[in-house]
Amino acid sequence: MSRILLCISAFAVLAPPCQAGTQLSGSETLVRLSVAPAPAPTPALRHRLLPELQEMMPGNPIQGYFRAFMVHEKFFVDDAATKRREMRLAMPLKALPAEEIRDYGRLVLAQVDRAARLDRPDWQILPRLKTEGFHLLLPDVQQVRSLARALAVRFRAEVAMGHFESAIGTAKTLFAMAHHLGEHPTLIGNLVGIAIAYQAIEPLEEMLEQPGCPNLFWALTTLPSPFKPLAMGMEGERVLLLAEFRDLDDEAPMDADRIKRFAVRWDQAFGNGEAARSGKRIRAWLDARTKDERLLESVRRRLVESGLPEERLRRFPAEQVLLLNEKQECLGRFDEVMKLMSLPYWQIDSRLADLARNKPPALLADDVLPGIVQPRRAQERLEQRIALLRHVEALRLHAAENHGAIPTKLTEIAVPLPNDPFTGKPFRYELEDGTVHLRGGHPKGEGSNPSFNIHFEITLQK
Amino acid sequence: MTHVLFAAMTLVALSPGVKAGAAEVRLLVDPMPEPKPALKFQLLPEVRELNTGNAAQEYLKCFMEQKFFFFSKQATTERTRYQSMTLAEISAAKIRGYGGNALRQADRAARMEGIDWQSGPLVQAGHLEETPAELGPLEVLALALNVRLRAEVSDHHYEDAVGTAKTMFALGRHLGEYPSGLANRVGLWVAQLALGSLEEMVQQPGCPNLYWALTDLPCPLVDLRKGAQGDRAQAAAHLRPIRGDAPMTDAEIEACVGPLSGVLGFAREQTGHAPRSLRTRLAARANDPEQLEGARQRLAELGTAADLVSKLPSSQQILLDEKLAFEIKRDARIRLLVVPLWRMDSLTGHDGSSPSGDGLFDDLLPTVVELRRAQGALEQEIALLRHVEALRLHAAGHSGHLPTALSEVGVPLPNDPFTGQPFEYEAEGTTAHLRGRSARTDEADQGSRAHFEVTLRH
Repeated sequence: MSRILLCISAFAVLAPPCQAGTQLSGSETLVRLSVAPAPAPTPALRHRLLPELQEMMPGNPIQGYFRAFMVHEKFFVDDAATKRREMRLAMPLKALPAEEIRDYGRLVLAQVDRAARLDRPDWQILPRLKTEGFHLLLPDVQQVRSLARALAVRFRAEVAMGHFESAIGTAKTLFAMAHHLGEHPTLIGNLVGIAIAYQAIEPLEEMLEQPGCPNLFWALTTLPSPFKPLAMGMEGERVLLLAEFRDLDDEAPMDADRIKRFAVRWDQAFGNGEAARSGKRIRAWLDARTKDERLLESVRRRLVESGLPEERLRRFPAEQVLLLNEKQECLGRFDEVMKLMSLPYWQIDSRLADLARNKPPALLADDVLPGIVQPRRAQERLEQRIALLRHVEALRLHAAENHGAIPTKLTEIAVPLPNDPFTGKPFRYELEDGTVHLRGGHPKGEGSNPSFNIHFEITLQK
Repeated sequence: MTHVLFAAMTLVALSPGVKAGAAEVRLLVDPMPEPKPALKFQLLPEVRELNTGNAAQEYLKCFMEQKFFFFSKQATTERTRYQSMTLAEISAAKIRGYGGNALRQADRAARMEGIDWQSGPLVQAGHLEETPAELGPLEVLALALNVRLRAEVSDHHYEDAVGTAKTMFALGRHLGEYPSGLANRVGLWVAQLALGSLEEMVQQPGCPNLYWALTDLPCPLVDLRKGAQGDRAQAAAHLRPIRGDAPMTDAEIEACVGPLSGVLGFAREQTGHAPRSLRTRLAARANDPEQLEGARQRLAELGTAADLVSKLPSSQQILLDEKLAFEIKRDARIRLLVVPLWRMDSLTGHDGSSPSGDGLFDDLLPTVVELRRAQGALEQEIALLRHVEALRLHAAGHSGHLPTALSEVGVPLPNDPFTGQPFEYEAEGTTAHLRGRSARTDEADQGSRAHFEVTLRH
């Protein structure tokens, strides 16, 4: 699993959304929604957005998702089919030939629906995580994303036809898939899960604008929070890191070949271009330091303080000593970041910035750590989007119970509202000329990044 | 998917190394003693190689790896070309390592300790596809593995070749665990594909002796029990709406006949039979007083209360009678799974192997006899290859000479699974002839024999 892939996945998830109704406006992402008042359904939990226990069957959903590809492999291999799918996702809802595609991917997606309702996700990847380290390939994870794209087309067709029960069924499948990717013990898997959750949220926002759409306030409120825990992925990263360091011996001297193998492997995972093939990046870094006796002595002292016998270290070549020091630094910094990850984002943001500011460059740690922080931001961005949708539904609820009136401030709304996960405070709410503006906060230093500056502009239909 | 399935089956005939049913096989081999230790080579993954997990999921993961390698037109054409090449041509094509990660993933899958196709609930509900979705792709996977196996054989990398054979035999065996007769059949085919390549391998110079490796294989290698049970459960699910405890309304009968028509029509299409209308045949029987009376009598004989029968609409009486008749015929077939092959013909009766009789639901009957014969053909081919390896073993210990009779061979030899008797053996100089009963049953082949002609190279 090249770490470049992790960066690409993070970028894809953090990139500003581009669905119909959403536009980039300067430094913010503007989502314009025109919605009608709608009371809570009766009973309140008539609609849910994850499969309920009574729908579940015993089995492993992951195998079920893979099986879906077997049902009709051309559906996924064929270039023309893929282009058509992407076109149908990009076109405005009104232009979608909904009747024509009402049975879109029928057999394949029925299999996905079934799979999403199985109760024991198991990616069967843990043993390989421990042995293959960052070189582990995850083609299956990326493929599952294409199932989500196909489901999103069906979702939009159902929304366009006003078939809300079916549409909610498809949303359940998508959210369940996203949730199952949360069980993947890599951050790439978790990021793909977040991307799949967006595949559900985008048509869901379109659905809220349709006449007669049921109110989903309680359906959204009963989603797990956080919707996508990253605990498995974070733990998995640690396993990958330890697997990668397995070849860095702290018991016996390493010969030049072993050191080269380590350097090449690491550069293949993190480097770019020629360096990625030859390990030249690490080699150059080592060459610049192996003759520096003062540096080596201080590094040895540090390793001795951490518990490695001095006598043993004296037998190690300089490259091995330097790399062992970098390994310790990397594991130490990794834990410094990891220990913050279970805290609310507004509590970790400044601490992360401090960490980045106060530490000198480190060869291995600087490769690993950015990949840990970005997924956490992606997670909070998803939480923020779900929270904003809850606000939209709360407004519809309020209007339905108050003869179409819009609250002048959030405290007038009777149902409980979530805080902004980036700030830990209520969202900014403004009512201007009958239009509601809801704005979320952003991580430190992202004030001009539209990906992190979301603005919902909501008008109420009469 | 079915087209893929049939395309793959056709490829078997094209493959130079595979002769389904082992009708006539000529082998040119060297004497070769047994390896030390004797089980240095095995043809199924050993426990020490196994990992925890479900093999089925890992097989499916192969296709996530390289979709174009498996399904693109170019890759398919190329694979077909490799399949029809001689070993020398394969060697010249330099395709060692064929399939890369995608096939290494299959190796991993084959070395998982468990197998769960997760199709049980589908079968019980009658929702499993007539051709289960995995089968087409898994056939393609087997063909790709066989290309790699032949490339390894052509380069004389026997350790690697045995590793690939292990993967293929394990895949075959895992398909024997699928609750569908069709999947079991594909499992037999995969094993036969690997065996065909092993027949090529034993002819290569320096090929290790596989006598104990073959002897160590379980018998039968590919099970048919799960498939028969699955087909039984699937058919039961299709017929479940036909009630035997209360009268059905016209709407209920129609709700039952509609889906059944589709299922039966598809089954006939798949077996190459002309379509026939369930509704028309049902109406004809329900309107025939003689047939109706016969149905009532049989229902009463089988324990349905006479007063209940009289309350049932005539269509329901016919459907129920046909359902019970189907169940009797179905079980008469399935019980043949446990009968030795040489006793099977005497027990099959007139409908034992008939693909489609006059019963309304006969198209749903499991094809146990054909499957058993296919299974027997595989076992026979394994047994014959064991003989070949026993001959190489004997020759290695006897200055390159063949035994004059099988009883001279020092290792135990299996009987012909079709007769329960030893294979016929003749030796003429450096050539031996091994003959068994043919697995084929069509009239044109009556009297034809499975025949291995084994010549020792000097």
